[in-house]
Formats: sequence, structure tokens, C-alpha cells
Amino acid sequence: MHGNFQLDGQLYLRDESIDPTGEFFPDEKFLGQGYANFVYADGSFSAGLRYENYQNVMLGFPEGYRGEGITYRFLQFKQDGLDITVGNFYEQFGTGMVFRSYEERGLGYDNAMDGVRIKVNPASGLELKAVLGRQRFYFEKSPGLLRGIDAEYNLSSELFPKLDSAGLRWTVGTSFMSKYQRSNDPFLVLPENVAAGGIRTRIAKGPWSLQGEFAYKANDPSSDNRYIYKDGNGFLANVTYSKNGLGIIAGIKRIDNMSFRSDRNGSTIDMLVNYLSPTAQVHTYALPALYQYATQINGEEGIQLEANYKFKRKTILGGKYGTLVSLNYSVIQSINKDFIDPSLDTLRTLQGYYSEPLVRGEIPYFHDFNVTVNKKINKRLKINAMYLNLFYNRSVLEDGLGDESIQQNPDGQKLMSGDIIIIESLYKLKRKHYLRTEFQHLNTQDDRGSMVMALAEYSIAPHWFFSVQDIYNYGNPNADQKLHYPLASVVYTAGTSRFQLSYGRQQRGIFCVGGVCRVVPPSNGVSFSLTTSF
Amino acid sequence: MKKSIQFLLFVLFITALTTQCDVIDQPFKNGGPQDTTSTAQLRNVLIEDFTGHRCKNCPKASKKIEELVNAFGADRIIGLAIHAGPGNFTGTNTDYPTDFTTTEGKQIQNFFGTNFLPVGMVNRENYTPSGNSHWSSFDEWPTLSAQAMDSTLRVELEVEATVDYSDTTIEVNVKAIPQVAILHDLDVVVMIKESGIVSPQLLEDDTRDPNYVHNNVLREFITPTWGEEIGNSPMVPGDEYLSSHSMSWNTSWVRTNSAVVVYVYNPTNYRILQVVEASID
Repeated sequence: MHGNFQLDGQLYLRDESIDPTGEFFPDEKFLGQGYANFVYADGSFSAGLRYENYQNVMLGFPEGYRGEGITYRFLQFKQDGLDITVGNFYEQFGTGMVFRSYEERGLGYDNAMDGVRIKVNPASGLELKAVLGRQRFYFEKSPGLLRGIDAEYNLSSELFPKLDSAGLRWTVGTSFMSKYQRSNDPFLVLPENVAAGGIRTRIAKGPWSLQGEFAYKANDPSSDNRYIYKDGNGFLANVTYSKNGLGIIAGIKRIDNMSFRSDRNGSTIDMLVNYLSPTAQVHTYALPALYQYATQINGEEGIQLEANYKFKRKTILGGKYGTLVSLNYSVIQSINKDFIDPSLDTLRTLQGYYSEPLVRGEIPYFHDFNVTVNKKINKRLKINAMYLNLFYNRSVLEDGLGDESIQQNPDGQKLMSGDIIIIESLYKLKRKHYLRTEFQHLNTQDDRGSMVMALAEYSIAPHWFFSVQDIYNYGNPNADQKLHYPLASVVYTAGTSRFQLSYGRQQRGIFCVGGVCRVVPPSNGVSFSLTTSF
Repeated sequence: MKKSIQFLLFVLFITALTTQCDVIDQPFKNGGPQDTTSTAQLRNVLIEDFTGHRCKNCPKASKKIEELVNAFGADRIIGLAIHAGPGNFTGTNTDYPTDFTTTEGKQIQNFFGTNFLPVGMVNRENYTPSGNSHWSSFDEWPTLSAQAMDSTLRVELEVEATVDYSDTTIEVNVKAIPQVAILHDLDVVVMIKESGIVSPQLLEDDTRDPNYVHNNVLREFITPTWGEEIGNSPMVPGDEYLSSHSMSWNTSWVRTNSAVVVYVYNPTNYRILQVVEASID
């Protein structure tokens, strides 16, 4: 038997500086939520459950989480090459462009399946998966049924042993997912069965690896695409190279009308069947994290190039301990869209727009160019320095404005561009005593203007951790909003348990994991968190 | 190996199931399921549209109600624009000076628990304290309205509303007539809404329309927010339950653009059994 437990809570304090009208201040004043997982395993059998409670859900998390209950339970057994799960499960086909059921607790995202999953290896090199069920929708289930199957085959080991013995690994895969949702729409003939499928391959040899996936979705009028019947497609490819301290990743992605939900009327992060990974770096530093990229499921195209090289020790650039330099560039824009005149009623509804895959889209969504240098100065000191140039289309990424609206009024776009410098250091004061500091500066004339941040963390391994930080939004165009956002935390760790107590002010922002984002409102107060595992 | 073959057959079976995909060539239905042959009262639909004049997506919800009213008639689809929700959507400033919010609207929004706009409830179907199924986006309203209109009428409502000649008092008389046996109490809610109010509204493209026409705006409840009891369980077909309600008429409301909305609901699950809109004589 093993499991884990987490409880979070916050006492909110009224702060008129960040919330003048009190629109975000909760009536409850104190909000708390938590969960506990219990998993029992015995031989080929395992079972588990998760209890969740929200009294009430904390600010920034989806409000659909109200109340308490057992939200995840499963029984699983593996026998004679069969792996059968009944109840809840998470699963993914390929990169997830057709189907991905997963949980991201920090986002409040959970589209766990409830039904049956079967996995089997019927022949050498062949793996099959079949799923049937419905997705979680907070404390309820989505109205749509999902039926899917996935197959992956190791070609090189089974059909081309000579290639395999030469070190080349080649796998191919295919997946299929169909959803069923009843329709009673008085105006539209909606497809009750909607199918999506994909093919993929992965080839690796030595330092090289190539991965690609293509997905197609049949007509799926939905709230996301404004009820057009156009089919959807997506393409994703990555090439990686890694050898002798040099690592390179080049990726390209194009998606067109690939929103796929088990409820055609779903919105935000609810009941997504598929997962469209972002071609952008995920930042953990506070200031770049204010402008994270969120995947645009109705259509986007982008590239990402990432390279890192470790200069060896005892070279001019490597110095005594070596130096790691990383470059990252990602750029994402709309796909080409030629919208059909709304007066052509039927064609407009059936097709929506035409898109030329080889023509570049007009609307810039995002770009991020950054350089990072990671250097160990001496036995006690490590430095990490980053420069980042950022462009962020707020109309698209924050306000959700559609391409057609922007094409009609391109001057109305709210754009943000800026430069960020970050210097982080880790200093070992004495045995088990560490001091980590961060200095960050965002220089921009847009949105909330420039900000500066300083942070100091003092840790005494393995139990204590103290942290203070402040973000000062000195460049805010509104004089009343040139505010400080201080935050102080203390953490105590004992074995597998961790207790954190924090006090401070948090500015509004966007929290993203893997291109899926939620808006975080401003708040002020005392928060705590307790986690443990057994 | 035998089991593997069995499983492969099973997979083929699953594949056969999942090859279901409907390809639609003609997306439009011809008209809605309107019954024009009968004069008997049918179950009507109240769409509570939570909205705000600084909410740029909210006009789309209002337009959806208009489409449904055009399709099914103003007697079957009754829209109610409740300006309630986050202050950055509903608050006033120099660009948006009209305060459309009401105490009752805020109470309803708090009770049913949402801060998203636009969002709505259709006859408050499927309410549970820890669930969200009672909330719907405007894209769902056609389907949910069609389902509600197809369901059995449990209580018939007759409503008369008059304002006295000096424009000082409005009086509303309600008669509720159960059509089936009802084994729960019945509460009645009476309110006033107004249409044709010209006031600024934020639009989807982030522009401000200073001459936007706001329709179906909740003005005030004549009863308390959660209504008054009109009938006790059990009630049987043929019974008649009467109630009268009155309040001072606010002369800033244009009487010819105003209407009284009356609904009866089950107080145990908040489901609205029937709703009627009446003009004010």
C-alpha cells in the first residue's frame, strides 16, 4: 500500500491596491482544498482511489471544483499478457494529438477516463491499447462517450533486423478515437459520432532521432470553432541530435481546427480529448512566466529551435569547471485563413474558411528568443544568467480574440514585447547551508510595464528553507498600480512530509503547464501547504 | 497465443465500433419543433443570461436568445439578462455609466456559484450543490431549450399585471394550475424586466458601442429572491392556487418596454416548472 496526501489553504486579506472593487476577494475569506491517493498492489492485482475536497476551491482554480468526494478509483490486473483496468485511468496515444487523458494538479486539469482500458502485446514488437469510457468533468462526467484504439509496432526489430543490428530503431504507430454525443439542436444537424485518427513514426540512430505525427479529425462543429463543419488536421515533427556535449532539437508544428472535446459545447480546459503540445519553452522564472504561451487549438503554426553546448573544462570558454550555453528560439503565428463571406450561409457553416498549409499566417502570436549561460565559478558558487526577448499577442493569448476579428481590425491588437535579464546564483555557505538568489528585470513599455524582482532563499538541509522575494512593477503606466508584490515563505521538511507557510501578495497572471493555461487572479494573504507520502 | 488471437478479434470488434463517424453535407434543419396547431399551454423556457456591459463576449449570448425567440416565439423562450458577476465585467465607470446590477441578481449568482461570463441556466435544470450541470454556455441553449420545451408541462400559469393610472403601483395576480400530481411544495417568483435600454456595451472586437440596445434586463423582484410559497404538497390536477403581488412602480422604467416574468419552481431542487411573461397593462 502506498499513497500521498496534500492539503492547501489560504486566508485571503482584503487588499484594495490590487483589487480595488473587491471583485476577486472571496466571501469565504478562507479557502482550502486537498486530496489523498491510496494505491494497493498485490502481485498482478492493484487498486486505488483518490479523495478530493474543495471547501471551497482556491482562487485561480476552475470553479467547477465544488464539494468533495471520491473522484478516481480503479482496479487493474495483468495476466497472460493482458493488462486490464476498469474504473478510472490515464492514457495517451502517441504525442496525444488524437487522445490524451491526464492530470495536471497545479492547473486544476483532470480529464481522467472512467471506463475500461485494455493493453496487450499480441506479437513481438506490437503493442495494442483499447479504451472505452467517459471523461471526468469536475465532479461529474462529460456527456460524450469515447471509443479508441492505438497500435504501435517496432518495425526495425521485427521486419528489418539488419537495420536493427546496425543500431537503427524504427517504430510506427496509428491511433483512432471516436466520440459520441447526442444532439438535440433545433437548428443544426450535428454529427453525433466524430472520429479522429493519426499516424506516427520514430526513427533513431546514434545521436540522431526523428519523430513525426499527423492527425486528422472529421467534421466536429463545436463552441471552439463556432460550429463550422470543417475537418481538422495537425502535423508535428521533431529532429534531435545529441553528442559530445552538443544537443540540438528542431521542431515544427501546424494545427488547423484541432479542438477535440468530449462535449462540443465545452470551453477553457474542460473535457479536452486530445493534447496539442506547445512549440515554446516553458519558463519557471517568475517574470517570463507572466507571459507563457498557450496552445491555440483552433489553429497555429510554429517552429522551435533549441541548442545547448557544454564547453569542456580547462578550455578558454569552459574555465576550470566547464560552461553550459543554451539557445532557444520559438516563433508561433496564426495559420493562413481565408474566411468565407458570412452571407454564403451554408458554405460558411460547412467550411468556415480555407487554409493553405504552405502559406504563412498573418497574425503573430508569440516569439521567445533566449540565451542561458550556466557556469560554476568555484567550489561554492554557481551562476545562471539568461537574456530573453519576448513577443506576446495579448489579444490572442489573454483575450481569446479570433483570427477573423483580428484580420478585420489588425490595429486593435494588444501586443506586448520586452526584454528580460535574469541572474541566479547558488552559494554554499558551509556544509548543508545554501543561499540562492535571483535578480530579474523585465523591460517593456506594454501591458503592465517594466518590473524588477529580487529573491533570496536560505536553506539548511535537509529540514529548513526560508525565502523572501519582491516584485516591483515600477513601470506600470497607471501610477496607482506601481506596486510591490512581496512574498515570504518558510518550509519545513521531515522525511517524506513537507509543510510550507507563506505570506504575501500575488499579482494577476497566467499559469501554464504544457501549453494549457489558467488565469490566476491577484490575491493577498497567508497560505499553507502540507504534503506527505507513504 | 490463443488468447492473443482472441484479443485481436476483440480489438477488431472495438475497431468496428469506433469507425462510427457522421459526415454532414447539409447542416441546417428546416425550422424548429414548433407546435402551432394547439392553443394549450406548453412548457416554456426561462434562460437566465448572466451578463455584463463590460463583458465583450456577452452580446453573443444575448444574440442567441434573440435567435431562439425568433425561432420559437417570445411566449416560449423568455430571456432574462442578469447583470451579475465580477466587477470588471459589470462595474460602472465613465465609459459604462449605467448600473444594471441588482441585489437579487447577485444573490442568484452567488448561490449557483459562478464568476464566468457569459454563462446561463435554462430552467435551472440539473442543479446539484456540488455540480455544474445547471450552468451552460450560450452555444448549448438551443439544445437545452428544445429539450425543455419537449418535456411535460407540470403546472400551468396564468398571469395578469397592471400598473395603476398614476404609475405608482404594479399589481400582479398569478394562478397556478397543476397538470399532474405534484408531491413537493411549489414556490412562485415574480419580477420585472425591461428591454430597449440604450447604454454602452463592450463588443467582441474590444470596441465600445455607445448605442447598444440592452434587452431583457432584470430590473427588480416583486417577490423575495427565492419567491413565496404558492402551493403545498400534495397537489393534484384541477387544483388552483392563487397569489397576488404588488410593489411601487419605478417611473424610470419604460412601461411599454417592460414585462412581468413569473415562474414557479420546485424549492427542493430549484427546477423551474413553468415560466410566463406578461405585458403590463
